[in-house]
Amino acid sequence: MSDLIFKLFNNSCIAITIGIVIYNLKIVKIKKRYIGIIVCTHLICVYAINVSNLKLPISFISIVLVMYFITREFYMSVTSIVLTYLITSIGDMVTGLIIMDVFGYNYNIIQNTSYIYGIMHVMFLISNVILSKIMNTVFNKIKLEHSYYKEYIKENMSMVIYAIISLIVLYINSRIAKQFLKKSDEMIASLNIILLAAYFISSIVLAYISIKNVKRKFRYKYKIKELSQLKEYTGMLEELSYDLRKFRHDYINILSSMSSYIEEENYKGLKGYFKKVILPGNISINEKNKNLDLLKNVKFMGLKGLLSSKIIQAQSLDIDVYIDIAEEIDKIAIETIDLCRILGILFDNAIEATKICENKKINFGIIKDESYITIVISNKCSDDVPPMYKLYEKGFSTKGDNRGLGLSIVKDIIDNKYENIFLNTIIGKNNFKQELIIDNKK
Amino acid sequence: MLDIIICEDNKKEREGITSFIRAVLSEDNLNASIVLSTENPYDVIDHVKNFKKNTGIYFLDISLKSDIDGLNLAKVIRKMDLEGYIIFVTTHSELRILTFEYKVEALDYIIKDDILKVKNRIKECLLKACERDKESRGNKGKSIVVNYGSRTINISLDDILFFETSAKIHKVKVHTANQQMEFYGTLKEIEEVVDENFYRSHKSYLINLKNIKEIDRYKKVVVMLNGEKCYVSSKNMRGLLEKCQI
Repeated sequence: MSDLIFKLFNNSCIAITIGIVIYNLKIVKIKKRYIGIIVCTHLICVYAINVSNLKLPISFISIVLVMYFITREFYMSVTSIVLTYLITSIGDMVTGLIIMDVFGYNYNIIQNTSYIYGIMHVMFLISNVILSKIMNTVFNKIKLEHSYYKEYIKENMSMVIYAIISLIVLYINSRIAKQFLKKSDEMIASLNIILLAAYFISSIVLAYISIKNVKRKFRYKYKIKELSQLKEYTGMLEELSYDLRKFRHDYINILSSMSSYIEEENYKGLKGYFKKVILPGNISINEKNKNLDLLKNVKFMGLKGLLSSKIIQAQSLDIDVYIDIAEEIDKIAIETIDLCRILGILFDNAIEATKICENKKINFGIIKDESYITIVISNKCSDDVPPMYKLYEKGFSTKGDNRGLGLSIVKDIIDNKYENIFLNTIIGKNNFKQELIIDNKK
Repeated sequence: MLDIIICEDNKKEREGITSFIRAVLSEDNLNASIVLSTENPYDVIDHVKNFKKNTGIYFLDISLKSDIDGLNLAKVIRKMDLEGYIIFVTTHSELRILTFEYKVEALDYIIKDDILKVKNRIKECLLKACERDKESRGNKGKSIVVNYGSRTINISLDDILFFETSAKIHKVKVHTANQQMEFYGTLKEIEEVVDENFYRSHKSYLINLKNIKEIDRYKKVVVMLNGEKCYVSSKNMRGLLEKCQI
């Protein structure tokens, strides 16, 4: 009877450890009450499966499924649990080392003395809680941005496979190591642990390097995009320049015609010429690009390129774009890559909303005021804009299925990275306005 | 009573605007009078600083023959006359609609290239200003003030559905039926400024009891008039029900 109680205690320790580590790693946001479900899942698997070597693998798969049902985030759930098991393996080793080397207990004694075995499980729990807190601080230092995570994983498939293989290797290894321990071959067991420790340290270094690498790849991809947008921009400026030359040519022709009428004092002819040629507005400069030169005030290349690209895109859809950037913008307390991402999404939304209206108009402005920079995008839209909070929900879209991540990504970036940025949304009569207010003080 | 001030450097245009405004004032019997019409922006500043009695309506040209332009003049005026109605008279090329709106909270703008429309626009702006003035006198309800630099926004308490905060950062978000605005602050600070219609239902939510649509006791959630949901913590649920007298 007491045997069963001890066994239950030990298994519960392990189950609770897994739950706490998943919660502490904070890779996926999960409420405390759902951790209870995970703890129970593990316990059920341990008791239901009789084949000793299958207990952990089946528990692993079950917990992945449970987490997916709760959070609906597959990649994050898998990562969370892989890391949890990796950490608990380290915790296992550390606990084992302490109990055997520091206290000098032999493996067989531990297995057979119930209270020592019980204490070992409690130490297992404590050491894993500490380890998970440390890992959480390490993750915060690396600043793994939630919104880019999926792309990280896809770029980094090899790392993921490496992690899973490590886990499997570890698991098999630990099973084999236990055999050595049973035969009191502690020398080999200790050697094994040291080898594994070395393996772990090198894995962590590898993981760190690979994350830096992916970040670099990202920046490179972004620079390429920036370059193509700037090419578009220079193309537009060249067109503007050509338009201006044509206009000047026509203008000079007209002035010289008019001057000859005046020399001849042929005022009737002059009047007729004026009515025929000038009033109808045959010589007009291309209205479309008149405001594009205001982008000269944007001193960030990436932002300039993105804005010109979006404006050109809007104008190609017959949307009237009004731009107001009156002062030079050369300093801004947000990373250009994030600002471009956010403005790209806001602009896309504005374009999509206004292109289906009769009155297609977008107003875009950047206004400097004391230490604040306000970026405004407003668009004319139809009457039936959904309630505001729904617009920010992940997966909600008026444009069909499989869309609707844009605004939730914007919110993610701002809420997780920037204390000094405010996003205000104002809905008026047939008008939708987004204000991005950046406090440059910080 | 509103004081009208005109600042325009072109004499002919200035006289035209002034006489036209005078005509509109008597025609429509508006509660306003012209107190100053000048080409010198410093005269305007001097008047507002030393002789201002009422809220003003300011018609300002952007390009003035001076070292300060209409926009800078407006900034100075705005600091001294928080409720004044500023209207810019500008050419197409000087049009800065959003800058006008955000930097000095201008009421409107009039494009002087479009000669036929100018008179109509002046009349429209005068009527709008008088209308707004009447409204603001009648509306003495409490409101909260949000600041971004020199920009001030008033949100009346009755319109507010709830305040929400994110755990990480000292930012508060206020929700009304048509707006969502974020600003620096904590719910604790806000609790001290609002009236008893607001209840702290959860550590992240301060809700306006007048704008509740329904309370779900079991899911511990309150649904506001626009459909948005706010959490209620278990220990605050009873207080909430008591306050709503259920």
